[in-house]
Amino acid sequence: MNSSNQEKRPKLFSYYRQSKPFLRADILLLAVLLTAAVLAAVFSYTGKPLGERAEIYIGGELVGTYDLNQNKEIVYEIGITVHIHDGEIAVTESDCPDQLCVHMGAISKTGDRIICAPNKFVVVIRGENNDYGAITGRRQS
Amino acid sequence: MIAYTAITLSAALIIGVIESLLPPVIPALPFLRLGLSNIVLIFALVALGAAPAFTIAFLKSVLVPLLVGNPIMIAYSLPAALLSLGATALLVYTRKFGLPTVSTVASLVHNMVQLCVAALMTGTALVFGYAPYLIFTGTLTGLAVGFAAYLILRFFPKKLLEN
Repeated sequence: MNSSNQEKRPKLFSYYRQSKPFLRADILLLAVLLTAAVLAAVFSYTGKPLGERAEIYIGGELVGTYDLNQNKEIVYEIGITVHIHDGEIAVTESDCPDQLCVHMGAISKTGDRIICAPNKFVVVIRGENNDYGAITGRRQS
Repeated sequence: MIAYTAITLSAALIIGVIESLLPPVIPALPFLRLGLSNIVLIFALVALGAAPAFTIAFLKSVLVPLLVGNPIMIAYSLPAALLSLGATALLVYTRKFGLPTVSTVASLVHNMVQLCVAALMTGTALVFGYAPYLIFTGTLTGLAVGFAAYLILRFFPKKLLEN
């Protein structure tokens, strides 16, 4: 087993070199992880209905609710511009360094959201009957 | 050992910088990453030991955001990297789990810590709506990354670590 005698090198190295990629105890843990992954995938990819309106939060506070069936540009002084167009909403400009919110493009389905963490800015799409409110646990209206 | 740590750190930095320059895997979810530098961290933990691995994780999480020019990233990368390496270390020391499984757990811990940081930063639990996507992709990339780490350890020339 211990083919190495170097005191500096942990024996872990030889152990994991000689073991198989999957060990017996993996079966249980992997079963749990893969089940969670499959459930998550099913949950993420089941068709969600198109949303009705967008809620905008800044710093956790609801600052506006907009009907998606209009064309509108809203500029926030924190450095964000959003565009509502044909039932979709997108962050079109942001002064944050990573631009993740801009790259996320337009969203339109109930429960979809765009988050700009540096600006503490969140857009969530809501449907008619707020099916997805329970998931976030933060319904405010 | 310091030299080994430094060389491994530089590998982690290179992978981290390259990964942040790559276009996102899924364009609609641009924050998803492959977590390739975890290959280096698992290697460091198993081949070099806990102290070098945590040193590398700490320095990498601070230096990659600075190199990329996005210091806010440190708030996400540092707690996530240290806690996920902590989970990795716990599982690795039991010697009961294979590296792909260990890496999957690490990737899930990493993702959940980042979601918690995002929730704190935005002041809303709405960010947890991304959890299903992160659990699904984290499991896939975690398995792949862990298998890569397994192969590297398996075929790493022993001579290089014998001095």
